[in-house]
Amino acid sequence: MRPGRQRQGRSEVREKAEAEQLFADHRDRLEAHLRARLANPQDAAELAQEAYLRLLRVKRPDLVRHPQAYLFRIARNLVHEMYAGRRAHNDAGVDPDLLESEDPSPYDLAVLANQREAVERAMKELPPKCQAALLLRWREGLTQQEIAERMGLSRQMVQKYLAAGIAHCRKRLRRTAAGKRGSP
Amino acid sequence: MSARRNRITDEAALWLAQAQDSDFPKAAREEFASWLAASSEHVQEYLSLVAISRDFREVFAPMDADALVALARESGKQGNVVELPGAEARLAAKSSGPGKRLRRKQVWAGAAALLIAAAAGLFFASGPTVYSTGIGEQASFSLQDGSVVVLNAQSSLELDYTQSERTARLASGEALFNVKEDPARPFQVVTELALIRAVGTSFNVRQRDGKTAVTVVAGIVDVQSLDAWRDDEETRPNREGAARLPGGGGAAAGGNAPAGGGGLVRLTAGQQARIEEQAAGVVVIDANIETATSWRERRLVFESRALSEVAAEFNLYSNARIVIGNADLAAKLISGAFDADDPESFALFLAAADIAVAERRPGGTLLLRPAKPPKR
Repeated sequence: MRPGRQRQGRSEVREKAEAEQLFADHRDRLEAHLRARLANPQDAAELAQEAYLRLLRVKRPDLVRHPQAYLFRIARNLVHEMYAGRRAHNDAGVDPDLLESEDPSPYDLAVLANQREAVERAMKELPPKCQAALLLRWREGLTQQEIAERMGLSRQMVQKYLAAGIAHCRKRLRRTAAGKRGSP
Repeated sequence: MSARRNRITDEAALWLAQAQDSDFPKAAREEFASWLAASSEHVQEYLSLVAISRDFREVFAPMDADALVALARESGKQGNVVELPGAEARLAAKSSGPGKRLRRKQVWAGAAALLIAAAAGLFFASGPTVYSTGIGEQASFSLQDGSVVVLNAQSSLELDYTQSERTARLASGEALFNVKEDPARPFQVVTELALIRAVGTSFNVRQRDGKTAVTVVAGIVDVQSLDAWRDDEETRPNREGAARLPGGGGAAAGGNAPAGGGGLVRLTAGQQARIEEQAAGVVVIDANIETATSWRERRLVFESRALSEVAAEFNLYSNARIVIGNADLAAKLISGAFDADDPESFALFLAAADIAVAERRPGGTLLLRPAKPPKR
């Protein structure tokens, strides 16, 4: 082991921890921005394209360790950069001063409220089992196994309900958006 | 189109159901990472679902969990088949799940869904599929074999998969291929000038203005001019298949220099092969991989390229057309990196470098004139 490398490793760990902390502090705000962006098809495509390119640059073992966390962090960084009107050069470059001033705009809040209502309508169309599984997963934070025990279902069935439920909401939202725009 | 998007939604939803769960084994995570890395559409769909899952938190906030779970258990006891709206029913029914609980109706629904899927598979396997992009549009496609193709603006690609071969015809434009290895089923790209064959590798093919350029990002790729291939085919006594590359079995494919006979050239990472209409054979040069694939980030990188070529490249991306009003100016060599979607900043660069001044014409045309009167 080379000492230089070890030192660098430790400072990287600390930087990473600090960045994580920053994200934890501003998660809600950034998430609100991110969700507002994702509700708009054009913004979502642009965001996804950029997130995708960054994802390809991430070392594979890192990505495999926490795929969802990684992707979501990249996306939140991107949104942050978009709002800050700049393009940072690395994933973890977060400036707390910039974040302070970034409350969601009234437009963002309207988009969020709209989407939430649409999700609610779509969710109410689902059968009770599907609704219950989704509630236990996303509000209570239970694992698939815990949901299975609580509902008296197999774990595989819970997984199907969770997947089918959210897929239904997504498709319903897409149809609504397409309807509003007229023919695409 | 909409069926394709729905399929991506279903896949993304299955991944989301598993991610973050304490039991998400490494093999599944690897598969998930590959799925994400296959296409920006996958990334977009997954992120959109994550956003909806966050909405769920608020949507479910006022609901009584115990009451809902009790209702759900009750709905099961009545012996009704749980119907999910629309296509989602198939997704739920297709699962093997706990065999004893599968009801007859679900089994049939599952069987029907599988039949439909099988029929669709046959249908897609039987004919070529055409992908094309318009001005400024880039698209990435994950193919049935796990290969990925990213298509640059104004490009057209026809894919033809058979039992023994995977063929992509790049009629025009530019594409980056990430080929999944399958020795039994070689992957080949055909342009109007060249035949490119790969086993499992990553390479960029550009077919514009009567030139084909093949840049290898990783792995090994064999390139042959289409003319040489045709000559070879005629003189070969026992050809095994119409589209097989000569030397594919390893006979003539050892050399790095333009090998004799079929003029087959073997490229490794960092090399570029150029085939031009007027010139004979394949020219191999060392290439900058980043430059060759920079279009994926919508960046245009030029190293000593004629202004006319640079302008043509910008015109692929936006409706603002760059027109060059002077032949000397058109031949001027340009180096630099630019944002493909911002021809204006390119015009500012030309002005700052005293190369050209831009005149804005109606309809979004940028007319470039020499910055100084040409010397006599």
